[in-house]
Amino acid sequence: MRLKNLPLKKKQHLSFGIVLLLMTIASIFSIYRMSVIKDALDDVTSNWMKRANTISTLNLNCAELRIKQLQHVYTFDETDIKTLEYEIINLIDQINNNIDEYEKLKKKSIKKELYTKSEKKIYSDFNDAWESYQDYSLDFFLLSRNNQKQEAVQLLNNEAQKTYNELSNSLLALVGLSNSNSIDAAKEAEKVFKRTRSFTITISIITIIISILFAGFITERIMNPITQLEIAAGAVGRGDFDIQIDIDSKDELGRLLKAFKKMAVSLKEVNNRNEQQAFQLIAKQNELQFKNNQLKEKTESLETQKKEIEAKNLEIENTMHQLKEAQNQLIQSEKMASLGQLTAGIAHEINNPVNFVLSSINPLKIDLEEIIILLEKYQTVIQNKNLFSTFEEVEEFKKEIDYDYLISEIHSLLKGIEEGGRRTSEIVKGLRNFSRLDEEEKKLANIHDGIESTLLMLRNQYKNRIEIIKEYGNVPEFPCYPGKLNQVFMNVLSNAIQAIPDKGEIKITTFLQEETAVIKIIDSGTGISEQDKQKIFEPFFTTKDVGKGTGLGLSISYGIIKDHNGDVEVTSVPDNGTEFIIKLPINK
Amino acid sequence: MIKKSIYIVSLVFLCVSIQAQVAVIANKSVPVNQLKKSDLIDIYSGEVRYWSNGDPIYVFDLETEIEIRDEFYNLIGRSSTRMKSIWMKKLLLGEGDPPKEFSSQELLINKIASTKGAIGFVAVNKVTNEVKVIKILQ
Repeated sequence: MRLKNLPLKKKQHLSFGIVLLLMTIASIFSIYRMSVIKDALDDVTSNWMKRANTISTLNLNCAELRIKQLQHVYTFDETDIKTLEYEIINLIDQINNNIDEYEKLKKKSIKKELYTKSEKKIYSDFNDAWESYQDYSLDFFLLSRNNQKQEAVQLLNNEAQKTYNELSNSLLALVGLSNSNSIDAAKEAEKVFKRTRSFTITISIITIIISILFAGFITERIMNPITQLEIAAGAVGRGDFDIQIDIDSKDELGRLLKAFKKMAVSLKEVNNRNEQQAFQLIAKQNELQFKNNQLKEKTESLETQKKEIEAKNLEIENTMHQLKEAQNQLIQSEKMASLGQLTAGIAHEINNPVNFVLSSINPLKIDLEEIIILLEKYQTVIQNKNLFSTFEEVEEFKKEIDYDYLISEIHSLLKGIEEGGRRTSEIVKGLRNFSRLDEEEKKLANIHDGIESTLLMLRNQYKNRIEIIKEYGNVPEFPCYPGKLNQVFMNVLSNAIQAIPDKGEIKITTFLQEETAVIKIIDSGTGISEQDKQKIFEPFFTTKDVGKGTGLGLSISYGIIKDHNGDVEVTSVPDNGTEFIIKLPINK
Repeated sequence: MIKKSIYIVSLVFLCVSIQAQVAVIANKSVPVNQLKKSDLIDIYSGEVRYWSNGDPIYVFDLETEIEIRDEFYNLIGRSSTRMKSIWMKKLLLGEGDPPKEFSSQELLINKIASTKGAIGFVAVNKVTNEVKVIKILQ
């Protein structure tokens, strides 16, 4: 099978496989070479250098031994000699250890074939020299012990000296050899390393080049058909179905291109057929479009008209609402105006006669007192002068009319008249207070005064029947329409009174909450049903019998409270009572 | 010609190898007839200084003819160099003197024959009737 006919996947696998193979070869080679370098370096550290090290120590110990021997011969103190001898024994032990160590290393090196002939030769020289030197040393110690100092010194300085020089030279040569071998091994390792590095770099470069070539080749193989396909697709997209595809590859893309060519041909046929139908369709569509547009225009104009009508409707509704409110206010003010005038007139008319009564009572009281004193004086005279017989008739009449009782009755009658006059005067004052209808502007007023005068007006309806509990808080005077507020209290309180059929109580609480005066009026009456509660502020809504209520009271009150920017809330539990909460902001 | 020379060379080697056999010899008064290598080491390093019958052991060594001496020490498993260091220690510690050394094998044999409790070594072919052979080291 030819390369260009292979499937794309296989093409990719093949190229990546080759690249991978090359990389693997390079890596394995590098790793192998690295191990070679490592071995070379190991040789240096574990063989040559160790040996050199051991020999150096050996050399040092030998030199020390010779020095001790020299000291030994020139020392005469027994203890010093003993010390020296122990030191010498130690040195010999150390030298033996060094030699053992060297022998061990030697064995290893021989195994690795790192032990050269020249080293072997020098070591054997050393061994001979060391044996001879030990012979001399033995002789030396024997002489020394036999006190043949002269001979001992001679031995040490002549033959032993020569042997020691040989020994020392051999050791130095060994050290030198080991050192030079170490350097050689290191050089070798470096050489191998450099070779490896250049080889690895070369292989890497080759791999990269091959990768690039492969990538280019693969891309070309894939891109050529794709480019053709793109051109052909573009042509088909523009409606040109006579496409030229020139490809003989048999991979996936080759097959795709062929399939595309077939598709283009069949598309061409379908397209021709469709074109004719399309023309007809377009004509019909245009017609439809035209009609559609007409319809749309009509719908739009209808929509506009509808919106206009809606706007007008809203306007009319608003106007109606305003009209209703105005009407209500008109009814209210007219009612109040006539009521106010009436009450003002009555108040004036009553005030005059009551004034007569009140102003007459006091002088009358004084006069009566004086008359009573006069009568008592008469009595005294009658007693003193014993004129009882003369005034028998008077005494009898006195008894007849029960004089003492008469006097006390006069007193109590006068008290009653005074009380009646005072109360009438209060009522009149309350009426006046209540009917302040001339108010056009707000005035500073105390709501407690208003509540009090209202209660006074209603006294007849609740006295002896309902207990009024007042809990007035510290509410200051504030600008308001006092008459109108009185009307509100009147409506609410009279409703409360009427809601209590028999005995009960009404609790009036006032207090200041932030900048708002709150008036709570709670009655223990029949309460309002949930249904009625929704409507109580509507004009002409009443639960009373026809002719007994106008149904305007609370709606007017509502209007008044709103005029004060205030609010009113009602909570009620049927058969348990009603609570009115009136809130009036005091700063406006 | 070549064949002949090879023959001669191999014969020479054979002779050397025969010579390399070392005989351990002793004075006839010595109460033992057999010794192990370890016994020889003990005797030559001065660890054992008396025979089983209480006679002192006189240890003899060669001063010259180094091949035989080296061979002997190698065969008993201690190099002559190491033996010297052992003796040096003993000497310095006062634990005895190193073996007496003689300049030739003949001299050594005579001395052993004439010294009661003496022990030494020579090449096998040098052994005479004057001494008794305790061990042949190979």
